[in-house]
Amino acid sequence: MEKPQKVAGVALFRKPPEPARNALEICPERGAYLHLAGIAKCFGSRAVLSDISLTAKKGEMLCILGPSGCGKTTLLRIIAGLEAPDRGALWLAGRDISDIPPEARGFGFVFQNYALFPNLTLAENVAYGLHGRGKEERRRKVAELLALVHLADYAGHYPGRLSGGQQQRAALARALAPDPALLLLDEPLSALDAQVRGRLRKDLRRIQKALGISAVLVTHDQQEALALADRIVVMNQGRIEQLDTPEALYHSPKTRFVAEFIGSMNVLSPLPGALLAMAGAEGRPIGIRYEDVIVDEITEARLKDPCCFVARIESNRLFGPFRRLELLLNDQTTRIFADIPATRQFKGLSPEQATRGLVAVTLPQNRWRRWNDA
Amino acid sequence: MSSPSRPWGAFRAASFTGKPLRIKDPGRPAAAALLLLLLLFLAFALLIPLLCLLAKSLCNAQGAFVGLDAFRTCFREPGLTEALGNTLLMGLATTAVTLPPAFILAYGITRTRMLGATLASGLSLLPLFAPSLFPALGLIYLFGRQGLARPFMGDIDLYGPLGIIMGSAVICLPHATLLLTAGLRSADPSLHEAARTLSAGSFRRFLTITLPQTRYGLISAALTCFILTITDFGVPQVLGGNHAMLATEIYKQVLGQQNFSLGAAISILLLFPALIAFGIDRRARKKQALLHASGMALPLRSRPGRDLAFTLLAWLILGFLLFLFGLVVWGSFISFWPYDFSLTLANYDFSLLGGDYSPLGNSLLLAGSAALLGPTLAFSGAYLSRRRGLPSFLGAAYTLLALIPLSIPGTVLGLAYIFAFNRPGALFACLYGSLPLLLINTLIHFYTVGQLAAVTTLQHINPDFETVGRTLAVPRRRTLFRVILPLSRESLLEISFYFFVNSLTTISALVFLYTPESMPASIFMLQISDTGNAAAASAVGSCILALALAGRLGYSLLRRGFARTRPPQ
Repeated sequence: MEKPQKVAGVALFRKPPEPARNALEICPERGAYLHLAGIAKCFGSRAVLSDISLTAKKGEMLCILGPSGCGKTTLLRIIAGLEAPDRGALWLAGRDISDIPPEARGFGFVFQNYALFPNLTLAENVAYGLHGRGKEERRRKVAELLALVHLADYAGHYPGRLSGGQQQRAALARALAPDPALLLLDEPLSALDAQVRGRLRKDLRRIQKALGISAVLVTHDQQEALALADRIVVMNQGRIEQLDTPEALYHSPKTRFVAEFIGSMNVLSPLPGALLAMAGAEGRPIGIRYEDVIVDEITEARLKDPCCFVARIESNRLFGPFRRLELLLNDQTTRIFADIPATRQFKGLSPEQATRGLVAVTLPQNRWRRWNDA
Repeated sequence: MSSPSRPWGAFRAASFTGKPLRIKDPGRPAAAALLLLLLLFLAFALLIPLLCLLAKSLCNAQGAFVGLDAFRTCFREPGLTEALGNTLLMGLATTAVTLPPAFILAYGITRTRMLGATLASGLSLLPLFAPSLFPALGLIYLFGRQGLARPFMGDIDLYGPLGIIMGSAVICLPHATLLLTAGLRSADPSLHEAARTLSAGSFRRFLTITLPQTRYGLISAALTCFILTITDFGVPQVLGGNHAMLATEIYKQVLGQQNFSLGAAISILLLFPALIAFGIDRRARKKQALLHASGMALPLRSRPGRDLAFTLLAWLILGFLLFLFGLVVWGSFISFWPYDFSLTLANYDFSLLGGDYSPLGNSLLLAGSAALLGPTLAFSGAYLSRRRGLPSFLGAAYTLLALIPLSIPGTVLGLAYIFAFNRPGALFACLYGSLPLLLINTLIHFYTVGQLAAVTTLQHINPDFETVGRTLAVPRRRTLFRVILPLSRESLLEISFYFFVNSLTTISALVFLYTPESMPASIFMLQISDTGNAAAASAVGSCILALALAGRLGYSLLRRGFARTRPPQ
């Protein structure tokens, strides 16, 4: 982006927002850009969303993260106006948009399957939402956006001949063309292979920040959410588990679901007897990330640590940058995993033969994760 | 958030507590109205006539309710029970006779490197381009009392079961071949590769892979042959002799003896086997569609023995077909069969028969209008019921109604129209016998195939396209015309051609409905043929064939143009 300020900051609404019609429409959350309150949705007797409330700030990239079937796509479609919630309301920039049809919301929507029109060229696809504007403006806008997504040379091409990454960038340009008030992305990178995904992730972040546009992205890929989001909403079974920054989410998960869903977490439940005293009376489970487990050769000094156990290496797999050990603690019931550097050696045990060998495993207390629910 | 401590917590927007929100969709009422209009059309042109038919079958000639009397008569009268037995028997026999050559053609086209496979698949469709009378006339020229092959035939009589079976087989051949070709195409190459690695020979692979994979195609083909034969009117009318069949019996009862209630009862009897066969066929096709998922072409190896055998067999079958059709065209130029074989154009002078060329004009008008209206109605219906997000009961009602015509034999539909539009005081009696009524009848008669094709096409178009349009604030209308229709144009063309060619060649329903002014060419052909003037009938038939082939040529040219300008997928 050479001159981001040229594109950024254009009027975000196609029509200036109407003044609030009455007091009932005033957004209860002052200062929020997008605000959802008490959204619920059932399909038949199945509750897909129950009581979803969240707030997104202006210019923020909000990721909705959750396993498949958690209702995240339905939530996105409700924000877009493609589905109507059974209960609840939405505000955008302080204005109640709950019953505004998608045509009038002025949001951009990007699909997992690109949904580019195969019978139109890239330029025509990007211009699709610009009808009704002057010819000159249309041409300028299309050129500007195709340049933004690095597809200027492909303006006359049909989507069928382009790679998945190119198609998704074109779809992004099409969604951005009418200067949407909000950009919605439904698993935009899931259909792409890993390398393209990484590159497009960076592109997406760059464009979103350059335009200063508020965006909501739905994904089931935690890495994608951690890399892209300003804040992440973790959803499970139609409810919000936690809404936080990536850092906070990773380091202080508030629920067991979040703890287990993001990153790789050992959950000690029941606790090994030795830890019971330290963990406090209630004996609630403790989580510890694979990478926080310390694996050492057995020394007397080590074993003095109350958090240290003798463990047997049950399996040993190289994952590329790290090595994952499966360890059976000496209480003979607790199994934990530990990720250690791939080059790590143990005295007397070659990395390949290390299985069945004994090591000292420390679960440092300052790395324990606790959460509010059981 | 909406914590109750906030002062405006008590003033929550209505959407918090009231009934579920309905997001406005500006074009929705108009779309719903259009679909309702289509439903009304189907009710008017399909349901009401069928209900009239049912009512008629339960009443006597005076219009008093007599319950199942007419049906009892059907089973008491020896002539009618015989016709019922004959019809079912002819259906089975024709099916048995048609399937082997159809399978040879389909297998040769899809699974061997026979010579001229593409040409063969085109030529095998020839019988679709002419009324069913046409091959029947050809059989008369060949095996009739003055036929070319007469001297070698001893005292075998063409008129009767033999003629019906042969004539029906020719008509069924393209349908069966098409269905079997589709079945054989949907092969999974990896199964064959797996079998080869397990050292299964080609015959074992045929028995264990090919046949099971084609079984739904075979069931569909068999049932289609059966239905076509028991409901066809043209062939038994020309070749049946004294061999009574239900379709012709209805015609005789109604137009000959004016016994309407008995005609109605017979047609309902005819409806039963057709409905049962139709039900089984639907199930088979659904399963076939599941098999179709692989969609991979089987790599063909050259095996000279097999390829030669299929080349010979297939071209023998096609040769007979071509010869039969050529014979009729030739016969239309002959001065006086079998005494004077000099060529003449006199048979094409319809004024000698006391007629003129208006039937050809009528047919062209009918087929042209059907070619325009058919795809329009079918596509609108499919679009509105499937892609417009209207209440699902509307779509379901439409889908159900649109499925009915395929299971209604033409004769039954024609008769139903008489009762709906030709009784004194009938609603829209003014339409009776007019070209618009013939058009409506034809549209309904062939509606289902058009509707199913339109649905399939729309199913293959990404459902998110409309969503894209909506989020970009583009009216649905624009997305329809800019994206959905351009992507469907080839399918629309195909549907259009289907309506065109069937409207040109259909007889069974229209034979009850025409008047001298609105008579289409296919009926004109039947009429002349009934007077015994085979040469003139051949001339009319050849004109129809020429029109249909011209339509096919136009279709191919347009299709090629579409393919050239098609963006890469």
